[in-house]
Amino acid sequence: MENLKKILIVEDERALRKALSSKFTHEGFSMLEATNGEEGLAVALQEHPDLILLDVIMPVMDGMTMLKKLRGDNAWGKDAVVIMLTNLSESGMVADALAEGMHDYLVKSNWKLEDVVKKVKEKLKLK
Amino acid sequence: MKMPIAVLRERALRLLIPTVLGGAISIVIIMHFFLHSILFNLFGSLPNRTEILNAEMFRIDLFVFILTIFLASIFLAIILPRLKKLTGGEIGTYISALESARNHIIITDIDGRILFANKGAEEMTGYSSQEMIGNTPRLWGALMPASHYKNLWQTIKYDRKTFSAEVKNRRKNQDVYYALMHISPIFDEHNNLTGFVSTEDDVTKKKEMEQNLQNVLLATGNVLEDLQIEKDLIKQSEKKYRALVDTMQEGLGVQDKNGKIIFMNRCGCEMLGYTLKELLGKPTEFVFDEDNRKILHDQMGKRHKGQRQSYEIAWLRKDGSTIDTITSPNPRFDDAGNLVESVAVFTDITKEKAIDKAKTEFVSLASHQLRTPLSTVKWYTEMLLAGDAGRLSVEQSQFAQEIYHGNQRMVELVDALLNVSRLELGTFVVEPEDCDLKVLYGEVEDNLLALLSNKKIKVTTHFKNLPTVKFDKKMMHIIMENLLSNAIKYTPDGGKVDLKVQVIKQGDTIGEKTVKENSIAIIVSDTGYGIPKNQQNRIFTKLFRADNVLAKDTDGTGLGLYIIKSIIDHSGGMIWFNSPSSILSVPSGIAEGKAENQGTTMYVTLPLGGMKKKAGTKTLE
Repeated sequence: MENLKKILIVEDERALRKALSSKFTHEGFSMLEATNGEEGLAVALQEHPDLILLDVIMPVMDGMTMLKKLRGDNAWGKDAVVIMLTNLSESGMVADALAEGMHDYLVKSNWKLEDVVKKVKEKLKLK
Repeated sequence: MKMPIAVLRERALRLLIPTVLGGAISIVIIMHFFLHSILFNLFGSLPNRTEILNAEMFRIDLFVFILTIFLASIFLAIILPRLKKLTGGEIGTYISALESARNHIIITDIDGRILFANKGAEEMTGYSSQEMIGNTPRLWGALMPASHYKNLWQTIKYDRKTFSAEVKNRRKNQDVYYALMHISPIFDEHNNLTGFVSTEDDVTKKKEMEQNLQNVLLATGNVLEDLQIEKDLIKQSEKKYRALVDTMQEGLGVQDKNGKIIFMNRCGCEMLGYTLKELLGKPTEFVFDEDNRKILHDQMGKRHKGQRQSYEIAWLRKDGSTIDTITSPNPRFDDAGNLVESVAVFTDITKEKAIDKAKTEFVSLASHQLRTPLSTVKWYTEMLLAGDAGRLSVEQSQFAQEIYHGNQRMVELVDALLNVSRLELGTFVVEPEDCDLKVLYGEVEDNLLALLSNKKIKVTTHFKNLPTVKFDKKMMHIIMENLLSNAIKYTPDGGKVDLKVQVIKQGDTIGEKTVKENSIAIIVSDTGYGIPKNQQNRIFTKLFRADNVLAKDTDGTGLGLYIIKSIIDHSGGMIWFNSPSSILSVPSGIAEGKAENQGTTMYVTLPLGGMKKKAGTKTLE
């Protein structure tokens, strides 16, 4: 099981979190879950996942704040692979996220789960 | 003329005669004694003086007397004419002077009968002297009211004073003339009233001038009165407008050509928190902060060029806060085209702004909230269909497909609504980047594959020597996808859709339209149902769906063409179409690729110069 890629899902919507979790587990990934930015940051720094799927709008701590903290934290956080998941294409947010080293961003309703998986595999250079 | 002069002379002679006669008698007596003594001395040498005394003396006396009379007669004959000439000459001078005077002079007896009338009187009245003498001045007068004559006679006859008056008379030729008349009584040495002398000065000309002057004055008066009326009217209408302007619920300010405030209505003053007094004469910049002055100057520059669009600007209140407005400038130019003054009407849009913000926030929130369950449905259905939860039966799979399809429509609708709200609110971003339309089409085609295979429609494409153009990729994607999906959706199965993308030069004509600048043209034609003639003018309106396709397909949002029209309008492009169809409903027999289905060709042109960058808060979906 050591060679399984670890993915952290930070998403407050249970249904979406579970859907992603199911799909990625099905696809053979090891899954970590967090329900807000604060929790996500803690898990990320502890578990060093291979990729983080990060929701933007969340209670307690939103995705943007978590991303900033992650990048500002330590050597690991600087290079962590992050894909933002969002419901809105706020251009300001996208620009900010890009500045913070976001690797990609997906509008949830516009993407099929298959495509999310494809995107993740692409980022992790799996095929 | 002779008579009155004779009369005068007679009167003059009357004074002379006693003198002359007295003189003559004295001379006769002196001469009588003188002659008598001569003769007495002559005959005194006679011897018997007394003898001859009785008889001769009588004869001598008689002789002397006759001689005296004779000599006196000779004397008188010599002296009298001289005297006459002496006295009568002077009077004659006066008389001739009177006669030839240009002034009208008449002399009447105490009853007003004319005794004398001079040349001036003849000229003035038009009557000859003969006609006048014996008559009264009523001949040419008598046009004045009775009171005038009563007054006249009272003055001259009883008060024995000179009467002066301006009178209206009538010449013989019936012309009316005006004269200044003086009548003075004439008295004899015993202070008895003997007659009247009357003079008249023709003042008709003066009167006319006076009348003219009067007329001028009257006319001037009328003009002044008219002016006053106009002034009153203006005042009244000004009052009305002032009232109107003051009761307006918008601010209204006026600045002169130098940019100084010369008026602000009540609402404007209230909005800004100033009194009118505080604002008058202040430069317009006074009511704007630094940022908004830039907008103001920018707009004033446009105003000089004759542009007068409303614009958003925040005015500065007295308390330092700002008030968001829509301001409509209305510059006024004189005939030479110089700016005279500018009226600005400004409406407080603080509330509208708040509502707008609320609306934007609502749309964002609603979309976010809508999208979460939509994503959930989408992803779980996908997993079901992918067999992640175990293999589905054919029927289960069909049902899941229906769920998926319905959900997709919802996703599209939410996306479209978001785009509409962003386009309408102007919050959308335009990010032009080098755009290869052929590559872009590839991406669009991927999205359309399912639709294309469903309808068994093939898209033929023509990309001719396309340069890369600075377009917003997302927008171009929306435009192409909408045009193509419409063409595919509204074309019967097995039909044809053609996409042509090409450069069009300025002045070239496509689809019966002449292009105004070098452009990229996207032409999508289909063999579909066409657009009903009676609805062709509405196809770009929001939520419009043609009757013929409503019956056929219920999938559309009615927002697609509205969105791409908005994008194209924002980008300086054009969109139009050519659809000969007038089919209202589409019976399947006709719809299946028959000749009646002449299809639709949509034309879109976008400036070859590309789209302009626009900052905003949101990209289109």
